[in-house]
Amino acid sequence: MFTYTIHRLVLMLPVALVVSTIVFLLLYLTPGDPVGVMLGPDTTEQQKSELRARLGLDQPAHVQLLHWYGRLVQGDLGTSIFLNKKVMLAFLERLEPTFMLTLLALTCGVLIGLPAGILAAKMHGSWFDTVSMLTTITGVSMPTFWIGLNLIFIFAVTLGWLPVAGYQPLSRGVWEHLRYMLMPAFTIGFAQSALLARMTRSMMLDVLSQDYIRTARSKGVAELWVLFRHALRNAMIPLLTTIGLSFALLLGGAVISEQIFNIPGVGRLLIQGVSRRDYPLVQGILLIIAAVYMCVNLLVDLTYALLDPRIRHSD
Amino acid sequence: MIRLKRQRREALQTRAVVLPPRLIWRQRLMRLLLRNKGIPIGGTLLVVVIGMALAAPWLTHLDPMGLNPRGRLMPPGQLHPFGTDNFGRDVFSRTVWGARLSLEIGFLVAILTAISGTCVGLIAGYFRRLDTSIMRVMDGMMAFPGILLAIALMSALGPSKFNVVTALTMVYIPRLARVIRSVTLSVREMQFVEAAHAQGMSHQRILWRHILPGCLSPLIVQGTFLFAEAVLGEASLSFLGAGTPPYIPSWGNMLGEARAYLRDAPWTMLFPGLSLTVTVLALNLLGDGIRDILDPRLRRG
Repeated sequence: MFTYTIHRLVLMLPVALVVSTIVFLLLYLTPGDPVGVMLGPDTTEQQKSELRARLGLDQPAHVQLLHWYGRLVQGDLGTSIFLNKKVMLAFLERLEPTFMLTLLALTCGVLIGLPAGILAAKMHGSWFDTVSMLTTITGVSMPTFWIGLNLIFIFAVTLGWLPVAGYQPLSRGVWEHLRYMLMPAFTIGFAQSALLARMTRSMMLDVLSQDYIRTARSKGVAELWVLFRHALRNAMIPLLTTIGLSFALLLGGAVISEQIFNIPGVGRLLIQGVSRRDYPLVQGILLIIAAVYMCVNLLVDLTYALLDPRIRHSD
Repeated sequence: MIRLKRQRREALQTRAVVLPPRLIWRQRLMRLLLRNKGIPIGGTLLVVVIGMALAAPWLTHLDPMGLNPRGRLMPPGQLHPFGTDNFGRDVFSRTVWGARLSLEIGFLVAILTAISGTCVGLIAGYFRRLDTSIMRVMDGMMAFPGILLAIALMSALGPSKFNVVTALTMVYIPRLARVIRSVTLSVREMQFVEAAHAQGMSHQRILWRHILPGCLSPLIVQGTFLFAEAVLGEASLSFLGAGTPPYIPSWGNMLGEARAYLRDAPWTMLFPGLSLTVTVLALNLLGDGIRDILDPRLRRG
């Protein structure tokens, strides 16, 4: 297991290099002078050259790139222009809402998606199967933000059960926090649960048609035991990958959900950065999110290897 | 129930054996199309949306960008079947013209991604020496959640229709390249490729004549899903204010503005969202259906 972990970590290095280079190149995609775009039209030449010097833009490109790598290795993500604050600090300040949102959405997605998929597979061909599969394909097709808008319209505007938008930190009490987080989390979680339910169903159908399941049934193993102990365990490995990959969906969804529900999280920070053309901020946040996503997928791969010794020893 | 179905299927299969070859082929295709519900339903819905987009100038005489400050937020009525928005613009004509924009961008992104992704995938899968470096770059691009990379690209490129297409294409290329690469890897080991090599066929010709045709069916399936994905992607970007410029009628833009008027004018949210869902649903159903037909591994029975 230890060798496998090291092996996976080494494999991550070139990808990390590519990721940081892509983020660096973003600034070069801007047509014209990025400093002029950042500061707006009413700035003097002196202000521009000051910012240029601060960002190191007055140096040749390859020197800039080396500086960029050097700073990243030291864990320095640069300073936001508008907030005048270290990007890492700005990120950490906004982390709690986004973290809670992603966590709740994941819970929501798994709690709805897995049981729906298992039941649909168990009752293959029944009305429940048809209804749940229709729901999931609609769920996958519905844009996240439209689900959110509909939820607000139904539960906040019409029924008045939940607040329209806003955020209360966990320190204000769990219930108060949940009241504000319920709709945003469900908005993202629904799309994910649809994806998971589809995947679970097809995996379970595959496994349930295997010979060893028939053997288990014919020797009189209880049906629930067959489902969970024999079938789900083997369907779990591809499902874990789906959950890991759909983490990107969660992070992307969080940005949209925060925008709809006015939640002061990382996503809103990113959108603010985009609209103010605060490139260091956008670059820094993008890097952090990519790193988080890569780590989550690494964890998924390692869990995988823990569950299935064949993977550990294959290469 | 299941056993009955199986018996019927077996009966159909035994009958098919007796029929002449061409009839078997045609009958099998017909049977597949009939059993498959995705293609007829998705296809019909898509035709309706395309029809709406093409007929936009004749469906409504109202200017989708025409402002009317006195007729703000009017509920659906005779003059405005879908009501008006916060600037007094007609929601119906904006929805209809929005279909045009969504399909335009979705189609362009799907085609451009298909072309460039196929090139990258073919090269990576065929020329083994380039494989590692190309695929590491693709892995790096896939390390970002798609929508976030698109947002970042849009912030660098600036808002315009053309840039939305560019950004989305760049985001989707790695995914397609991966699929095409894996198909290429398996096709290039086939004996007919080896035979072509032995005959002295050039690499270019082998790629074009022997490997590309093998990639065609995953390409069609992925292309349909990419179309759906791109329609959603454009709408999400525009909703966040990082996509199509706000004056252009796009479903995402409309929904972004509708957010502030949920209480007073829910119709501004209802119609563009519904059209968006129907379009994406149609494409997803179509993609599922095509995959069932083209991909024999996933076909049941």
